[in-house]
Amino acid sequence: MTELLGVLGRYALKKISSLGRSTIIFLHSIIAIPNLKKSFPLLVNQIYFVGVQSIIIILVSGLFIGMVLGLQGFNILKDFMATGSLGTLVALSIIRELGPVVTALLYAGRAGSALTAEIGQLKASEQLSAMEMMAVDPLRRIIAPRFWAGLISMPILSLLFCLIGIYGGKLVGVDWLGIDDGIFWSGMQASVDVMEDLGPMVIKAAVFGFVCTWIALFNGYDCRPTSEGISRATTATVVQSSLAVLGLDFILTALMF
Amino acid sequence: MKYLKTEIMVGIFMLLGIIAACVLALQVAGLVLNSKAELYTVYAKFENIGSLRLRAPVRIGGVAIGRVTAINLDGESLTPVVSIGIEKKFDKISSESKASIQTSGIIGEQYIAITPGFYDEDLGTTYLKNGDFIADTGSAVILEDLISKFVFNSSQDSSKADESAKSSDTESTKE
Amino acid sequence: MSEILDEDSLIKVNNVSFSYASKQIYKNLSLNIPKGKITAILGPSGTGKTTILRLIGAQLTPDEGTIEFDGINVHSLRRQELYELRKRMSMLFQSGALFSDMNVFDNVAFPVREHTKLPEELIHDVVLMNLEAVGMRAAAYLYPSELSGGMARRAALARSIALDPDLIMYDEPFVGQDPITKGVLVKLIADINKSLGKTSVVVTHDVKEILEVAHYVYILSEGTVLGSGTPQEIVNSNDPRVIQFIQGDFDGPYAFKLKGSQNYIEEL
Repeated sequence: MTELLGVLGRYALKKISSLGRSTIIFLHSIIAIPNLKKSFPLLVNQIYFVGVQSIIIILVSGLFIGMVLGLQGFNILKDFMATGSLGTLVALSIIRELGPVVTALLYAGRAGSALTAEIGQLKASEQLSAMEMMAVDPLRRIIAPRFWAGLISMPILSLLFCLIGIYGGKLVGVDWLGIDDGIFWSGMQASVDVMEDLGPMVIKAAVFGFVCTWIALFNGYDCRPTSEGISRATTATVVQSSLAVLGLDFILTALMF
Repeated sequence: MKYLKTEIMVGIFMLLGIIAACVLALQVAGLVLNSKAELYTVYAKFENIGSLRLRAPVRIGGVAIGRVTAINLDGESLTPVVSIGIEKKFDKISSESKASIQTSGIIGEQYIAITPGFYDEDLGTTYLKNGDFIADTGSAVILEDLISKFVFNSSQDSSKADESAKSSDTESTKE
Repeated sequence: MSEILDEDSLIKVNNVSFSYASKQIYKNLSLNIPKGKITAILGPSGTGKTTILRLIGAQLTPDEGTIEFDGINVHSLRRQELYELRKRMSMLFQSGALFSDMNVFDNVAFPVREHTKLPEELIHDVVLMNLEAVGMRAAAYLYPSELSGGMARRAALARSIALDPDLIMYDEPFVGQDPITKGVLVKLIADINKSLGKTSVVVTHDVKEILEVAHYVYILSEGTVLGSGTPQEIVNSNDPRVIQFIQGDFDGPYAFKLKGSQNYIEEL
């Protein structure tokens, strides 16, 4: 019994100390007066890796999720003679939930794991140490631009996901199943609000971007510098990010909608 | 020039984000910044507007001719007043037309359907113009009322009225 | 044995103890690194020779004791001050630790670009001069993945001297190199010390190579200094443990077999 308590205690201490470490790392990388001339190209480069290279997977997933929603929604609404509400159904479910959540999950899998592996690799090959010994703070040079890039990219990716998802739903509902174009859009326009739906969506996406990027960077920075350590850290990134996104989604939804 | 390709791609990426935000706001959320179609406003009093929402479509024979621009409550008569924006090109709508709140499908969105009335100058009817009231209105059909009408017959209706009176009594005693 | 006077030393390690988790690495370790000289730190594998460099660079913090760089206690500094101090030291990592996403030129230019506001033309010249000094000018536009181990280390050396530091620390520079490359690296270490007057600390277990150029030698074992002195003194030492290490005998005070808790026969 006491042994169990000891194990639990050690586990809790380990988790709490890693939370503390991650916060310190985060603060060190963020609370820095950025040298705009030097930091901006780094940021642009990272937005390219984190954001631009995730576009394809986001667009393809968004299109298919929108199409599936259109198809399923049509089949259900048909029974209630309410296919006119398909636009509302597709738009609200994508904008309020699926858009930010699925984008964040894909982002964690695509960009988050890559970030962890990259930072872990830099650590394993002593590049982070070398940078530190050259009096260049790796938190500012390596971590900070990636963090900001993630924070900026996620809302944009999420917006793109929503847009293509809604057009995917329209493709199925209007162009294939023959719902009236006007009804589809007007129902949607009547129920989707910029401040009540789109705003919270962008906020959600930014929060998810913040959390996923932070988790990914910390796992990479804190991993054991071996091949096994890197692969574990990468797995941990995807698992922790996914759990964090789903949990936070509930909290944010409860707060904002 | 090392970052050139990256810079262009990132620029396009940011641009796509802005475009997506605009399209979502305008097309999906129906945000009208400066609507091209100019509207004139007429008013209609309803007993009950059901779940009619702002920006719900206004239709004649199923064709959208405008939107609900505001929903207010008349302070004196305590009846809802709906402001209906109609596109200026539809200016030949008789003042005898009827406005009613209808639902697309059973659980669909609610909209205002305008049934055009007769037009005869001799009888003093005019075309609707800005600021007019539509006199003939039909309130929203409340699904719950429909069901209760269907389930209870008229005698039970009266007992139900009693019950509601009682319940309002109990409520007032609570206070 | 000759002792180093305090005022001549750039780095003073005073009674440092350090342990990783449960493993004690150093116990009351004290040593002085003389200014402007090449100091070799020798020792068998696993005695934590690299750790001493990381302690000096303040990447690790000792459990007890102090380390002074030019009279400044490196572990008492705040983050900002530490980064200022680190501009005066540089370290050549075992693998070279070149940034894999930049070519050799940008690697060498990296510290210059980060810490100075020199115009790009001047940086170009500085980088090429440093690369020429290590004989790597022709490889300026290759990426680290295209370099051999020896070339990577030379490029990394060019990067280490780019900011004109007071101290250069070499972490196992000869590991896994062919004899010619070893010779080249030994010559480079000597040249950089001689022509630029840089204090150099070389951590290695390649005795033969380093004794040719080192001015002063420390032999570490089991967390403390086993012996120290000029190469001459070390070679002529009559401490059996020093002799075994220098000559590479497999039998001697250091057992070939790890000490086990159980008797071999019993365990079988």
